[in-house]
Amino acid sequence: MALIELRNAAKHYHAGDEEYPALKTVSLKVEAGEFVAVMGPSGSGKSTLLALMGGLSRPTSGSVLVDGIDLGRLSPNRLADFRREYLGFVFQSFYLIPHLTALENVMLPLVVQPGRNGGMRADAAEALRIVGLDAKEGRLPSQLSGGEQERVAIARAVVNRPPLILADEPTGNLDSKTGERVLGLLHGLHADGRTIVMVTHSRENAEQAGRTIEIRDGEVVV
Amino acid sequence: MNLIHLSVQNVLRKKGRTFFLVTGLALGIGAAVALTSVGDAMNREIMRALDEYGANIIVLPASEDLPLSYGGMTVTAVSTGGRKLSMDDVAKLRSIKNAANVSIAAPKLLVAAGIGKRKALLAGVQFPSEFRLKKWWRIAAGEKPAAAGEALAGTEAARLLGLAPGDRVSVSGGTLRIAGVLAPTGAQDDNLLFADIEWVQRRFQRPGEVSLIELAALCSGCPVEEMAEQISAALPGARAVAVKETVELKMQAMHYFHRFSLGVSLLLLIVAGMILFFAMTAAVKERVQEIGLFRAVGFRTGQIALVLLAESFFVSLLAGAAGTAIGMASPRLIAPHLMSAYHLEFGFDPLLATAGIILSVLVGLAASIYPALRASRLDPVEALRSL
Repeated sequence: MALIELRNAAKHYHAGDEEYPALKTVSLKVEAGEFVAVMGPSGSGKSTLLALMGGLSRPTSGSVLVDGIDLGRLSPNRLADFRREYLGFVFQSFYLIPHLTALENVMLPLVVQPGRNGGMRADAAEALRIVGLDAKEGRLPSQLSGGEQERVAIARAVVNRPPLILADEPTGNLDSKTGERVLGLLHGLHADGRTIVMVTHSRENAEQAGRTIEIRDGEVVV
Repeated sequence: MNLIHLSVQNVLRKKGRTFFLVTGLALGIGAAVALTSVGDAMNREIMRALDEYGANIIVLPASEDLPLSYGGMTVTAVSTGGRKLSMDDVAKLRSIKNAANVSIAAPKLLVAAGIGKRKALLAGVQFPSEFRLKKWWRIAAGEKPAAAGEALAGTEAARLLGLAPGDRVSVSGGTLRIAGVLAPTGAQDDNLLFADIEWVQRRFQRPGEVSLIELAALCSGCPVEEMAEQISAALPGARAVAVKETVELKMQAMHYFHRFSLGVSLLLLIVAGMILFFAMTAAVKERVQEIGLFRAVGFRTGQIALVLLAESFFVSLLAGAAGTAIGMASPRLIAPHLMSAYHLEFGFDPLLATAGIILSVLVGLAASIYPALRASRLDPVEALRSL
C-alpha cells in the first residue's frame, strides 16, 4: 500500500461567484520512503497538491488517502490529530511564532501531543541539534538569519518524528549556499527513513529527489 | 511548555497590545467601580439625611379617649384613665432590638392652653430633637428658644394671637416669652405654640407625661414596620405606627438613584466590553497566520480557542485588578474637590473589589468567545496563504 494516494482528487476554489480549478482530477501515489519533488510554474497547483496531501485542505471531489486513512472523512479535530501524528510541514515563509524562542517554536507540536507530560524540552533540543542550532535555542526568530529560521522550521517539522515531511519551497527564500544546507538536512531525514514530498520550482533541487512529479495548469503531466 | 504558557508568553511579549487591551478594559471597570462606589456613598448619605428628615414612626398611647388631631393622626389629649406615655417610655426605646436605628426621638406633650381670650394648642417639645427632626423649620423672626420659659410660635398662631418675638404671655399660671416665630411650613405646625416639654409638664401638672413620640428611624437594613412592632412590644399599652408614605418615598428615592447608577455602570461595562471585543477581533485577525500554523502542526479547535481565551482571561484579570484599584481610589481623591457639599465616606468594600475583578474577567471572556471560536475554525490554508 502506498503511503500517499490521490484518487481522482480535485480542488476548486471560489472567488465571489466564480469558481476556478486549482487542481484538476489528479491520481498519483507516493510510496513510503520516497523522496519526491513536485515541480511546476507558479499557479500550477503544486502547493494545492501539498495542502491536500497534508490534510490542510479537503478535495472538492475524489479522495486523498495517507497510510490508508481517507482524509476527506475526518473531522477537523481528527485531521488535526492526523497532522500531528503523521506530518511535519516545512513552509517557504518558515511561519515561526515571533514571540517564542527557537526552542519554544520547535516544541509547539509536542505541546498538544496527548499523554505528553515531560521530555518536551529535551526532544526539541535534540531536534535543534540535528539541524545544527542547539547553540541558538534561546533566540527569537528576529535574531536568526533566514537559513537559521528555515532550519528551526525543519526541526519543528521533525520533532514529533513523523513518517512524512511535506516541504513547500523550503529553499525559496534562501541563498544558494543556505539552500544547499537545508536540502542536505532533508536528505538526512530521508536517509533516516522518512518520506519527503518537496514542492520546488528549481529543476536543480528537483533533480536531487528520487522522483519528480510535474504539474501544469492543475494537472499532472509527468 | 503548555497551552497556558503560550497564552502568557503572548501577553507578556506583546507589551504594546497588552497595554492597550488592559487600559481599555481597566478604564471601563474603573469607571463602573467608581460610579458604584460613589453611588453607594451617596445613597448612604442621602438615606441618612432622609432618615432624619421628618418622623417615620409615631408612638401613641393605645387609647380611644377624646382625640385631638395632629396632622391627621389621632392622639390622646384628655386623660380618662388608660395608659399614658411618659418620658420613661422615651428611655425604653433604647432597649429595643434595633435601637441603633432610632436616629431621633422627639417626645411631645400636647395641651390646650388659654392665650389671652383664645385657646391654642401648646406643644411641649425638646427643642434640640425637634429642630433635628424638622429640618424644614426656619425662624422667620426672632431666634431659637434658649431657656425653659421661652417659646416658638407657628406663623398662623402668631398672627391670630398677635404674638411677636419678645412678647410675654401668661399660660397656666406661668409666663412664656416668645423667642421667635417660625416661617410658614404649610402644615399643622403653623397653628401651634411650642415650648420646652418640662416647662409644660410642670405648668400643666403632668409630670413626665408625653402625648406622643415622633421617631426618625434609619430605614436601611431594617423595615420600619419591624421597628414599630418592636416598639409596641417594648411599650405595653402604646401603639407604634410606621408612616408608610414617608418610608416608601425614601425607599423609592434610594431605589431610583441605585437604578440610575447601576444603569450607567452597565452602560460603561458594555462599552468596555465592546472595546475589548473589537480589540480581540483585530488581534485575532493579525494572528491569522499564527493560528493557521497551530492548525497545521496539529492543534485542535478547542486548543486554539483555549489559547486565545486564556490570553483574554489574563488580560481581563490584569484589567480588573487595575480598574478596581483605580475605581476605588479615584472617588477618595476626587470627591473632596468636586462633591465637598456632601459628607461622603468611602471605605474598602471587599465585595465590590471582588465583583469588579470577576466582572472584568466575565466581560473579557464574553467579548472574546466569538473571535476565539471563529479563529479556531479558520481554514488553515487560507490562514497561512502560502499553501
